[in-house]
Amino acid sequence: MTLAETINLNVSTPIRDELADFLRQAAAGDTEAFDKVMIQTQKRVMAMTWRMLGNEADARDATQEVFLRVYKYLGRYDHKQDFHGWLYGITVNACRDLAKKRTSHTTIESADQIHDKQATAEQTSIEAQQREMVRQALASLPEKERAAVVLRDLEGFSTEEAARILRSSPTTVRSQICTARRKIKIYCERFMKNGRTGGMR
Amino acid sequence: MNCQWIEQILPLHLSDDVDASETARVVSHLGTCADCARLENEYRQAMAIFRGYEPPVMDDAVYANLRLRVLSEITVAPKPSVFSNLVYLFRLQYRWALALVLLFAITIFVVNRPGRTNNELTNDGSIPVDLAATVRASDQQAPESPANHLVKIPGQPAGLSEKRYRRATAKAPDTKRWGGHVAKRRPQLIKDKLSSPANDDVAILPSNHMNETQPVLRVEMQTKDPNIRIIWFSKHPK
Repeated sequence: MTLAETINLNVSTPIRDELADFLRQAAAGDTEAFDKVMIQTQKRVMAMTWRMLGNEADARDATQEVFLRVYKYLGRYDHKQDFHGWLYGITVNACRDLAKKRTSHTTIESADQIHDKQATAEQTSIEAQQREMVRQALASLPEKERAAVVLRDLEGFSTEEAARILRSSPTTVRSQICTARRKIKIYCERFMKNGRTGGMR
Repeated sequence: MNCQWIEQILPLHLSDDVDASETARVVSHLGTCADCARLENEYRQAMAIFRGYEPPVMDDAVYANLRLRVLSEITVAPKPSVFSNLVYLFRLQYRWALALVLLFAITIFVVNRPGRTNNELTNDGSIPVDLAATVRASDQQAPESPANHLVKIPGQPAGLSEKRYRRATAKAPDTKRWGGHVAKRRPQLIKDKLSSPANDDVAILPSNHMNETQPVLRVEMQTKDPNIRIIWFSKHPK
């Protein structure tokens, strides 16, 4: 066992136990314990919702909805199961539901954002341009492909874990990831050629 | 090796999502094909940009506000009940199992319901002992045959049976009109006939068989053929 593994074990095990305790207490109706669960997981959930939805306002709403669902269904959670996998499953579903509700609103907003960005194209840095490009590329993907590629490439889950979270088969997820990566590459190429006005259909 | 195949598999090769044997083939091909190597490079660049897509750092106040809203909604909303968890435990597979059990029970009930069973018959088709005794008793005290009740009709030889008398006196239109209720109608017809002035000399028909209040023994026997049922009426044995 390497030193890093030893350190990881020493540090992560009490944290995991702590989270498990908080989850049990929260399932019994302890709101303070649930607050601690939220503190431990809020950044991961917010990052995921932001990547899935592409804007901060929707990400906040989705995160709130995720925690409400977590509290509601905590009684169904099997404590032997990986909590983060379960949490990401709820997150993906909450993002899907919110995206369905706000399809027209999101389209208008992103069009406005693109317009604003075009006006200040010269002022933005390359990094910001790349972020905007990735955001648009992700927004152009179908929901299932987006969820698969976010879980696999941005959240760092394995294909099998992503399949479990998405309640799909690894083969299907692998295919979705493959298609999504191909589209992202084409989107990047177009974006580089035509500037940020280029969109993928 | 086909470059088209490499192009198909390359997005998965980037994250080692292909078999070891396929990885070896791809690597060997990329070493020899400049176009595919360039394509792989483009993929890697695109994925590097994509993986650098980090969400903006948010202030702690944003998270605190978010938690506050969640907690306020939780305290307002009722706690998840034990019943809802029980309902969740009643998963789809259990529902199917219960539905199958219910279906089986209903089928058994329909097949064996009392109205369809041959209560009067044993399995070999013979009459059960109790019923046989009843039938024998009723045989011993069998009601008088209608043939014993003779009616004298003017212009006809004496000794006409009730049945023949009915045939002689009943009118065809009445029979048709009353259809299945002929049996009830006929006593009245006979009485009308008998009370008419033209039939003063007709003997009175015994009313034993016309009295509907008299208890009647009814024995039913179901044959093996479900469409055939033997119904036997008799005066109730006293």
